[in-house]
Amino acid sequence: MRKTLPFSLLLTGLALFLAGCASAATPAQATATPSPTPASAASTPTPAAAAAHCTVTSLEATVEPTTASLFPPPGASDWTAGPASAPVTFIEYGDFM
Amino acid sequence: MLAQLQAKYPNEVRLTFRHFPLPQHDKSLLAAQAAEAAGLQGKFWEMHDLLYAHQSDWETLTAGQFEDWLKTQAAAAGLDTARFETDLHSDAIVNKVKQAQQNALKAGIPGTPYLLVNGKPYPYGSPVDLINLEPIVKLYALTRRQFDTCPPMQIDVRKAYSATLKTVKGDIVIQLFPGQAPTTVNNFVFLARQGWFDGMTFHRVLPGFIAQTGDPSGTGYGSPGYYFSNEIDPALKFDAPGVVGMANSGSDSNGSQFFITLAAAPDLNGRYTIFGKVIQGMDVVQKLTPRDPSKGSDLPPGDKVLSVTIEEK
Repeated sequence: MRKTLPFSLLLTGLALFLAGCASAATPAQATATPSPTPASAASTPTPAAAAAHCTVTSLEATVEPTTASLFPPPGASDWTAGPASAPVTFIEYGDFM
Repeated sequence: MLAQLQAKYPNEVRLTFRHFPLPQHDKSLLAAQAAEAAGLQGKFWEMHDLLYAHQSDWETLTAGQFEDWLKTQAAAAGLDTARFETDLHSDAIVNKVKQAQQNALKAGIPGTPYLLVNGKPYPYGSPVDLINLEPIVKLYALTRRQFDTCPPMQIDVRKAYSATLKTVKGDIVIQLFPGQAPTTVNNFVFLARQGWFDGMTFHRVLPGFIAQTGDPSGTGYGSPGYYFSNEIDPALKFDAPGVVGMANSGSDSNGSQFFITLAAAPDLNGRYTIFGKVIQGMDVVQKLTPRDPSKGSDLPPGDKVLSVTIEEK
């Protein structure tokens, strides 16, 4: 049902949407022929005795002021379904045809 | 599609629809006006669904035929048809739809459907389907459970700690290493006691490599709302099946996701914090349903962890 720009993208929308915001936690699987020498031997290990540093983060996107003015949040003139307290709000610009 | 998503997650999803009648489509304005006219009688979403569902029935009609079709649908939907016909071409509705079209053009929207997720543009051209949008809903739903502070220290590193993961396939018992990875073990104990892990799945199980879990959203992108640095003890190695390590999305980005090795994995040494080992139920770990989220969308459901209980001695 998508109109205009008929091209296909290899990356999924999820990955693109989350790019720079969150990434899937790895470990990544080694290549088919793993190197017999552990590549990590050269890395500097963090001393276990040092207190691990912890930081609070958030998934919430920082919306740029220009984005907010071009795409205002749901208002009284909009058709909306679902509670205002919902953790995720989709705004869809759609054409029935 | 989005209406289905809203129906499936009624408390998690709010959906706002805005008209962008594309100028190249001859009946787009009229269709939008019909939805607005139905809306004045409390049936916007019914007309919205009907227009999309029967698009192939009306898109080739002339404007006149389409208007007749709309009137028939309005009557069938129980609308006051006289009022519907008046509202369909009322100044208020015509202007509202035109204004919506102008706003969308001014915003530079390239086509439809165009989505914003919590104010952030969803990449245009990416599939608008359950496979892509459901994980986004699950991730945002998880924000309700996230913590706004890091876990307070609550373990005694001189004591012995073990964790029992009760899974649908049996129990897995993990001996934790508070001496070698105190912050990581404290985090694990904190999350387990908060019930964070209850009901999560082993969302990534790669036979011969690792079984990964710890993300209640099941997407592989979830975190507890904070991240902390690695605690690498060079004496500990991923040298056998059953070694328990923290998953991360780059160095020092540990949250709640962790993995159990299914075989020795020397490539992981020094890059991922080791904080425990399986002392019972390795057969259960080896039986977990294989599942590789990087291999597309047609995946079996992951095996569930019903609860994680901590024993302190």
